[in-house]
Amino acid sequence: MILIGENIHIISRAVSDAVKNRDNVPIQALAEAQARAGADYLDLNLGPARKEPEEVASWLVDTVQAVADLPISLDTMNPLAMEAGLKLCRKRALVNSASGKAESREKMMPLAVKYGTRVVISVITDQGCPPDVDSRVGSIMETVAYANSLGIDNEDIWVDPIILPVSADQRQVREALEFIRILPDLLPGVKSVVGLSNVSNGTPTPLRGILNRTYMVMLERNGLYSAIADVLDQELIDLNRGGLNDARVLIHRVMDGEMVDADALPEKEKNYVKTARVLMGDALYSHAWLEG
Amino acid sequence: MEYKAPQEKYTGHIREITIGRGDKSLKIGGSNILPLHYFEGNTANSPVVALEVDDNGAAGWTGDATEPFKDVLHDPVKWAALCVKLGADLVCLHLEGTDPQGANKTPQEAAALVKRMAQELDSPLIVYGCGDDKKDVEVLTAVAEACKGENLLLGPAVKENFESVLKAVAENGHCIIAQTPIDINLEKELNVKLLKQLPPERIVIDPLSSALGYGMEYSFTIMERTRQVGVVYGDGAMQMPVIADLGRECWKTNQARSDSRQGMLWESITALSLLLAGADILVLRHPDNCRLLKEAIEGKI
Repeated sequence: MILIGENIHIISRAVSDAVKNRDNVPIQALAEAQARAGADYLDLNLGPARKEPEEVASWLVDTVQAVADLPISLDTMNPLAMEAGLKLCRKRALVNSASGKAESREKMMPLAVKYGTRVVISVITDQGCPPDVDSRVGSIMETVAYANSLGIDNEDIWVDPIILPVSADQRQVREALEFIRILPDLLPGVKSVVGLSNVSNGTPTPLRGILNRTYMVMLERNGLYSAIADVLDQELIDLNRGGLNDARVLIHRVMDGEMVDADALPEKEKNYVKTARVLMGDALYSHAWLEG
Repeated sequence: MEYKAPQEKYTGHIREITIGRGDKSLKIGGSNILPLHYFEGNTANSPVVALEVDDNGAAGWTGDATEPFKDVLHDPVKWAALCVKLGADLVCLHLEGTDPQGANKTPQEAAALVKRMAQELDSPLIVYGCGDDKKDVEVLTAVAEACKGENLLLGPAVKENFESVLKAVAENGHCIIAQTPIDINLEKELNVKLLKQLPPERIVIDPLSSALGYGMEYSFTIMERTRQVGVVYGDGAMQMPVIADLGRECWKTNQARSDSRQGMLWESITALSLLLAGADILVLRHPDNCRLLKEAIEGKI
């Protein structure tokens, strides 16, 4: 699976301070660390980029490209910042993201055409995030048809089903899983992408990794093409390279509805089984899901 | 052809807990069906109704729920006895007087009162601290020790203080009230932590009750889901009886304060709703509503 490194993110205090002060040291350290860890793309998340959008985007793309020879996923909802960044991308970039919102159709998608990039298209519309598989399907069919009409091929479209935190709405976890499974039949040729760490948003930090990793294995089994993820999590990288086969098989068995005796397993495998059960909705989530 | 209604069978059941000592003990919970679905299986024990008593003469009470008790408000033990006489299955003492923001009674005073009440009362006893999580640790510990072996239902144990409350409850042979703020995930988390040291037969869930018009739907949904997760999905951390401490919420509404008939309706309608949602213990203030809800539980109305 293609991994897009998520760690240059404006919500991180270190990143936002570095951007504000145009301090290239912490940004380049993060870019190099993610490249070394095995990221395929680097996500540069600028958020809304209200102040000096063009200057910030240009500076960030240049700063990162100076040390990392990876394609960039430019992550902002500000079209001015997006265009300024795309102009400088040396490798074929990923516009992250467009959606079914009117503003996105009018301003973001044309940038993907103009600069010949790949583009993330999410299921979000002006009505918000669709609540179940059927409404996600309805929304994405319409938005992708519109993108096609602008001349964007399915092969360049990375569909994002929008991952919601398991701690906020447990049912949505499974809806997104199912959506990924049926996507190739709906829109042949499109690729898929998720913001993986969203699934563990709101969960205490030391426990986030196992949720992310377990969900990655589940999504991958259902055909996920790529994930924006914490590539500095070594166990996540190992899993993505085919390691930890015991855990992977157990997660698959839980997905198949098998009753796996978690208590008979070693600690690590037991935790993966418990986590898979929570993500499948077989067990009610709580922050103490690994205990008891 | 004779029609036979389909019947659901569930994997889980609500644990049966016992409150009180010897011949004045009461069993709560134990059913393997959804609330009031008598046609589905075994109810074990019907839901019970408690009446609320205050250790501070109902000083903070609003509305008109005190009229039937006006002669005994100064003496919580007599007040509790009258509750039982008027039909309550058990008594729920709120130690509001221990609130540091109010009368600030000492843990020793509270413990002495609870001990006297537990000895003289012919029914089991539920005891709530004032809700200040630090003071509650002192008060509930003193109460638990003074009443060792009385098998009280004691709480609330909350996220901030459950370790200390749990210790006092576990060491002195009582049951615990696990209270969380209308959130099913936090509810389960607290249960999981309590279950490490206490069997499920000594835990009661308080997901917090809100009054009609003041968020009752949220309490309803949480209680309903708690029961579904425990009984239908068989989640062992969610199979304890639920307490709905709702009288106090109803009598502080604007509607109850402005008109006692509205107060009666607010309390009875909220109680009936939470009964339908799955509450096993209803805590009310007015004895007429206590009678009414008991009739509803017995299927007479």
